[in-house]
Amino acid sequence: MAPRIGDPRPVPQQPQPTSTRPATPAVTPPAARPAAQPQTAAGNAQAQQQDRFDGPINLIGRAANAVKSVTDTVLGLATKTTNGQRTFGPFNLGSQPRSTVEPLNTRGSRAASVLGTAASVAQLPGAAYTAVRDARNFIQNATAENGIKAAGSGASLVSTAANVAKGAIETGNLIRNFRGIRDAAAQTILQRAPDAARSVVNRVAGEAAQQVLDGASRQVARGAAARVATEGLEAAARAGASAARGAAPHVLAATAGRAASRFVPGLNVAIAAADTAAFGAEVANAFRTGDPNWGKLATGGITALGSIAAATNIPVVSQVGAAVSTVSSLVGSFF
Amino acid sequence: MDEIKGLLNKIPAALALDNAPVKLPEVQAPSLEGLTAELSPRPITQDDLLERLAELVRGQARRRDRTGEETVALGDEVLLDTIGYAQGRILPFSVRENGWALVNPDPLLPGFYEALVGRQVGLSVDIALTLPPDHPVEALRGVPARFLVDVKQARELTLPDPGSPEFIASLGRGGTLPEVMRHLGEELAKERLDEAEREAREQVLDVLVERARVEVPTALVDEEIRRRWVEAERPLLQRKAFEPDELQQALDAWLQDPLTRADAARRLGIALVLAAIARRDRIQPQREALDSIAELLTGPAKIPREELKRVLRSDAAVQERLANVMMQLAALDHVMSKVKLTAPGSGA
Repeated sequence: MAPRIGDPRPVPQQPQPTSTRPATPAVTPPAARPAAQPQTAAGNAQAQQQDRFDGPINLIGRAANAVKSVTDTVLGLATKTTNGQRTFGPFNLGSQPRSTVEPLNTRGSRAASVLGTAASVAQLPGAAYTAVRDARNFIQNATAENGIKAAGSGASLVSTAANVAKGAIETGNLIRNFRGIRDAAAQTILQRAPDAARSVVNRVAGEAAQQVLDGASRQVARGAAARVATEGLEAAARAGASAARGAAPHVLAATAGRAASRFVPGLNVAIAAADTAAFGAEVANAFRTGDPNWGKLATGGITALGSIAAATNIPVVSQVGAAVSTVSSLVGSFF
Repeated sequence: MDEIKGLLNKIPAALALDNAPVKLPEVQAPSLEGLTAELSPRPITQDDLLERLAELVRGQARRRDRTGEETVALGDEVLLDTIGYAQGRILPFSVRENGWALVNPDPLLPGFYEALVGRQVGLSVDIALTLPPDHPVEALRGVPARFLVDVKQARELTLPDPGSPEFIASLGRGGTLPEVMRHLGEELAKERLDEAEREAREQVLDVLVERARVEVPTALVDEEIRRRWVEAERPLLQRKAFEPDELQQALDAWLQDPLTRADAARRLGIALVLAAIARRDRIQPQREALDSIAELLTGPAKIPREELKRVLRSDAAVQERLANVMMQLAALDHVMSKVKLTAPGSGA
């Protein structure tokens, strides 16, 4: 019988890997696989040739594939009609015959959350909640009790945070430090807490994973050597391939999903996938409503693709070269 | 006129006009001589391989929508709207709409997913928790937080047996489990290299920002964050009838978050440097970029070709964004063409 989530979890049988970085494995021929990385000098030359032709076309093209991958993920998950009442936001009794759902996201419950006080409204039917408490009175009462203290504490924290950020902006080394902090935090986000699927997989596939580990590690080392060896070729081609390969669709999809479900501030804009996820949601919304805003969709797609190919969100306020007229003429010749 | 100006000045930043002009600082294009970057991919671990297979197992699970009479169970997938609060204000980036999540205890949000278990589909939940002492954001370690959550939909998952022939065949990565794992190893190896190249590119961009001694004004950082927020979060909050002071609070949360500020400053520094290089070296956008962008927009985004033509020709905002992205990519390509990649250990 297939395992189900919620079944008792078996204890993983395989030893867990260490987090330390092992020594670089020796470069040896891989196990026989026709699709493996190049193994010889001739193979390396072939890889170089491949890089030469990847070029700028692939920079964008592969980024587009990455965007598509994540967009499909979002679409696949987001286009179904929900059961029950959609409640977050404006109060809406709808036409459901069963007891209605109160949106927790009323002004009153939001204010209670700001102040850290119990909203005491979890799972209460909406009509009861609104009859008992007027949202605005609730806010005023809550503010009188806790508002001043909370505001004071917040202001102090804000001041400290602003100073830290200012330092990071003004000093180059601190920008590098910021990147270190950001990357470490992103790594934490990407770590998945063990779940039922993982527990079953550990038990079934641990040994098979161990067996392929050496080969995979050698492949990484060989690949790095091959890519470095492209030095001396037209570097534009290498750069194009480089930027495009940085947009691994699977990694972006995983990053977008995990970052979104963990609510970690600050990192969302540091990860290019955020734009892609936003674009995917925009597309899903357009399909759902049947009334797409083409301009908004186009802007979202362009932004997502740019973020992935450049591996960072392109600032909204800056312009690299103000080439609108040139692009307009390209657009003119395109259609 | 002065009266109108005065009125405009009184509009909260959260509601301000989105296209007000900004003044960008002058930046001298840095030299591209002697740029090197180390290509140093992370090794693959057994854990990585197993995690990848677990994702495939989850992806192939049989899914059944729970009815409005059922309750959420551990291991379900749930569709959530959320908003989080900590330290007396909205937690930046906690406002989410229609986000799917796995109901599984998560050390980063202790008690969050546990609180959803047993809740009826379609109801709302108020979750109070304390963020863990090892939270990735230092300022939030050990901090109490509250989340308002709407559980809009739930799906029960029945996992396939990862050792079964049917599951292995469905993956299209070989006929046996070892073959599947070998395939996954190859995929991961490629991703590691991609990641290393992206890291190398980031190293180069940081060096260029240092060489150019870019100073990004605080006001520019504020404006960049505000516009990002206007695009990403404000529409969602407005749909949910947040009032003006709450909108301002949400924007302030972004503006005051140190990581968000540092990230915006870095991105602006990079963009300013690339712009200076593009001007000096007369970089032009590439037609190929437009081909692929159009392919994306008419493909996954399903924008009819005629509509895309109309938008690209007549919508100034779209044109500006397109020009910006195409130039940034062209400048990035140009810079990377000057970089010498080195092997691990040889120094960058």
